[in-house]
Amino acid sequence: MKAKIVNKGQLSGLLDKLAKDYDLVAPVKEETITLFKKISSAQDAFLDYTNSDVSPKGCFLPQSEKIFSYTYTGDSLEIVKPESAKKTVLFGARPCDIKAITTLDPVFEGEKFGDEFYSSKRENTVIIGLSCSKVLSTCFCYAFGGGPCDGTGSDLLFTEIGDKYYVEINTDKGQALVDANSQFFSSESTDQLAKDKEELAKKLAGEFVKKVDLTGVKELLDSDFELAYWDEDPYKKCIGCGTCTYVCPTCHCFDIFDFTTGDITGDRIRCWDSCMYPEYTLMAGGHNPRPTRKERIRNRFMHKLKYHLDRYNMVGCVGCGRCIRKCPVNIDITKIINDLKEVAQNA
Amino acid sequence: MTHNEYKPFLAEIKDVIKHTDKEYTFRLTYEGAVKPGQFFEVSIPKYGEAPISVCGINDGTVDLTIRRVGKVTNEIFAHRAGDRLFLRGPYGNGFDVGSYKNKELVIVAGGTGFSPVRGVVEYFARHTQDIKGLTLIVGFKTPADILFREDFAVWKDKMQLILTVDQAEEGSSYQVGLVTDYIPKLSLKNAETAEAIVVGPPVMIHFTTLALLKAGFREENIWVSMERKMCCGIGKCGHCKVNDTYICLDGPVFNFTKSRELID
Repeated sequence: MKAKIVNKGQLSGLLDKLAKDYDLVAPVKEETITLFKKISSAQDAFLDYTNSDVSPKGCFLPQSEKIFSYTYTGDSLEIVKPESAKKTVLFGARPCDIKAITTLDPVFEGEKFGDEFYSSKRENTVIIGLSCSKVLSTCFCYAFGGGPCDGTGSDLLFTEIGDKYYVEINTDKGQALVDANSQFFSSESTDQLAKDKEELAKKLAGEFVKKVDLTGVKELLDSDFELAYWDEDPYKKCIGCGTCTYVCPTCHCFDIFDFTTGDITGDRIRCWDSCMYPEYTLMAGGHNPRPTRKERIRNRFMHKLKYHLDRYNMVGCVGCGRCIRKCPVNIDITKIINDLKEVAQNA
Repeated sequence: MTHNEYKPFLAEIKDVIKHTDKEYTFRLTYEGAVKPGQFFEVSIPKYGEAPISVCGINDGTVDLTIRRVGKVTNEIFAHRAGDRLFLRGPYGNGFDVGSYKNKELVIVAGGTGFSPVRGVVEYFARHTQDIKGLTLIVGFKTPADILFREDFAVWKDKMQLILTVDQAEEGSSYQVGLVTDYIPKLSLKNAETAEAIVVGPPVMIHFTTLALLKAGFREENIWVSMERKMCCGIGKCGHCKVNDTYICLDGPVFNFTKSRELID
């Protein structure tokens, strides 16, 4: 594996240069919320964070996105084509969130239909990951094969070690960015930092508070759809607010609607939707195949733990822990997993 | 951006056939491959999109039978011949007419559920030599709800047609009863090799498939067209997903051996 070093003193210079050459998206702090936004200079970036409140999935699937503008006069429709994605660098995304992006790829890029809104952003974006330096009490990425210093899906992975960033170059795209900005990357030996990174990964692996064991859970869900468990907690607790779906980096449902901007003009928009709402499955004729929160809760967790795996052979959860931190009634997916494991053991 | 999957095209309304106050068939210009049971996303700017099944395929046009039940369909009903609507599609797998050739076929449909399968009936009504025997059982709530009356008048000589209503006033000339009542009375040469198509509301599909199995049909010879709320039509937005299956992409037509696994 190729690697380089960026001395911390060089980082702001690198980010300023990237902001000039690309749309640079990085974590920023707005009041109490950390989220990803386009920044114009390094000083806007907020890198002293454990994980953002809002995941960077919006870089590829924005919360709301125009799919075309129209001018409509009853018999003619002039459709304004959306623009192709700009060259973008996503800087500072955590390993779990980058892994989450890879789980969206087969939905938008694979199968019979593509989705250029997603794929053009994906192609034109260089993802620079930032290894975690701390583990939150709600983190459990290890349970789904991830890790605080895992570079899966990133073009470059930065790991903070002392006064340096150890930079792993994972793709040709990442290499091209390094080559074009070589003045910020030191050519000194990376051998020691490679070892330090391994040490850091080991140290962080021992700091997880959430103990999650998926043994037998998938098999249980495969074999029994009507588990009595779905009648109990968490169904009884859930208030159907949908927060879990909006903060989840692997949730990707959207709705399409028209937003009127004038008498004959408007935009057709797609925006994030949530399977936790009854309207999500309510058909125009009045029938609702998931009429209560029980079916909706079951569907959400089955999607995370089974359906996404069944369809795409990829995990539907990356263990970022956002749904645990943000749920107003303390529904905890790690508790659900462990409960299901127990159900499986006692079956 | 070179290709926008969500961009609709214009289609002119050639004719509007009024069945009931709430159900009209819109005949729209469309040149291109399309199968019965596929669907289009029909849209009007400002109002949005609605998924509508293809209920008839003609030379240069498609028929979409639309029920007025919401914002978009209300607005569609304000359109007349000569006006234009916007379409995306066709989407979904649709029925493969060829797979029923030279077989006995029983089609059971309820209400507007008849729309997606109408193209199959029409095909075999025109090509009676291609099928060993065709039975159509169609149920509506009341005589006032009956759609496609003209079709039934034409078809009654070309197939065994059973038109039934759930309820009717006394003295009505219509047969009264559920579609399932007629399944045990089917006269088939061989139920084991006969094929069946079932379309309609979920409860009707459930009891009809049970009755067909009881009558000797094999599971793998039963086909179901499923309905779910659809939005993007291309397997991305998640609305119609049941388990790991997108109804819009993998369906809406499923073999019963698959559809019985699709539980919400």
